[in-house]
Amino acid sequence: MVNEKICIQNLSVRYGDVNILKDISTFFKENSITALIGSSGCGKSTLLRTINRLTDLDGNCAVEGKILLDKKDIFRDIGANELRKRVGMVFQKPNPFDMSIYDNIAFGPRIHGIKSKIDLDEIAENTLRSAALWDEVKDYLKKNALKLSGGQQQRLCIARALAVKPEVLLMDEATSALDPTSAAKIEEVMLELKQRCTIIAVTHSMAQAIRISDKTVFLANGMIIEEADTAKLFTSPQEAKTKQFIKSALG
Amino acid sequence: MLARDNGRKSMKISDYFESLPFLMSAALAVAAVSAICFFLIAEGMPVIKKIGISKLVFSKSWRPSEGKFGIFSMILGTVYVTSMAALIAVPTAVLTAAFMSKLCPTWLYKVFKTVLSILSAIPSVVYGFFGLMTVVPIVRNTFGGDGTSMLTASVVLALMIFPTVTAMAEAAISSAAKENYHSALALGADKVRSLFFVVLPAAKNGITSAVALGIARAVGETTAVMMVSGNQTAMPQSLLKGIRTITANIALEIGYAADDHRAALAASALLLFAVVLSINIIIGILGRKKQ
Repeated sequence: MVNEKICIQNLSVRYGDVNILKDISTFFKENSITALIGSSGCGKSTLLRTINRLTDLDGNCAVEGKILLDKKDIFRDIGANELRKRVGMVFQKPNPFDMSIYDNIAFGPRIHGIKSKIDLDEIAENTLRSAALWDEVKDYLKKNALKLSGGQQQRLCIARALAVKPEVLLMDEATSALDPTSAAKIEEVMLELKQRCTIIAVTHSMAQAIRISDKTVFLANGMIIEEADTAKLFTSPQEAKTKQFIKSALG
Repeated sequence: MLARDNGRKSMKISDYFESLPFLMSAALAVAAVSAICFFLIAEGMPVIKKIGISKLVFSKSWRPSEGKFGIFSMILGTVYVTSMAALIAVPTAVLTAAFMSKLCPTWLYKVFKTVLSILSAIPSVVYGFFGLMTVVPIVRNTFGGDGTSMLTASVVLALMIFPTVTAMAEAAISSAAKENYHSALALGADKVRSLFFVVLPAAKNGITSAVALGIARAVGETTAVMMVSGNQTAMPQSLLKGIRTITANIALEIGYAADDHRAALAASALLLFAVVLSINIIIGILGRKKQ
């Protein structure tokens, strides 16, 4: 029996009159990478944002159904701030805070009560190493984070997310704004991270899904059309829609 | 930079004719600024030369009938009233802007937007009238004195610059750092902390321009302040005593001033013009930095 870190049960998400997600049920295995694929507007980003309740911020958003994190209902049994500490997120566009590299990393831990410089130093080094950024920035920790290159900024954002020791990491097309070399570095980081995190990654790149993910979920029009082990989904898709999507996406 | 230069170089003569109406309209604005500048210098320079810039600025007595043209008390009046108004309006405006852009529900946001645009459209004289009828009696009854005072003027002025600063700061906060805000929340930070430690710092240039614009407006504001500030030319003594601002001084006396007196008023207008111009230049520099 695999450990289901996150379990989604009959989830529907509506913005005003528009149904973005329609009665979705699936699960995400612990210590694995799951890729969410599908064309733009299919609801994959909304699914991601629902899992750490960033959808709470959208006034006209209505959520029905359940999401369980370690069998606990994220809407009823876990506070939003605690949930977001446990379920981190990396966004499409690198977005370091306008402060030093060090303070970017320390922001999360400081919120959660870690004040000692020794602890923070250690967190900074560990997370920057995990994000494969330490060697490039270790002598410039006081430098403003916005001075880094795009790829470095995104790795900093990963390090920043890791600094609060999340159990789940949501990645919303985290490599799509980057050059291939930087993207490859981040893929390596993701493979490394799955030892201690459950990763759910929205991606537009089929090649990337094949390279890094264990399981792939294909969404279309707010519904899950097909989900399977990545190798299986891409080599022998069962649904006609999946076949068509993979064919057009791979060109 | 490059793209812009290319765009201009490739213009043909026929293009210039097409853009002539636009060019002429733009030229009108430049001409107006130049004309004002020229007029103020022409009117004000002789008296500045005659009595000296330092005597004009630092001498404490303004007695036109005796040929004493020191505007120091009015400069202080303007500085005090402006800074106190900023002290009241800026924190309130920035908090309101932050609330509007990140914390309040959509329907309330629309209400605020409408209220702000109404507030900024109310004529100055109406603010003055409101100040005279409500703020003046409140100050009089609470603190004594006759109610027309530095405090009253500051409160009315704060009310006037509040919508300007709020609207601009709100735009700056909303456009800056949406992703930053979400990232901070995604780290488990609460909304207030995310706002103060991530969003406001990211919007600081925009907020600074908003504050600078508010101050520029406060420095130039005349009618409302004149109606509630008492207008004594003596040195400002306390919050509850009257003061006169530079703008009020010009408005009050230009009707009957002649010769040196008139020139001294023009010179003080020149001074104001220089101050507001510098504030605008600072706003411009801040705006460029942002990009």
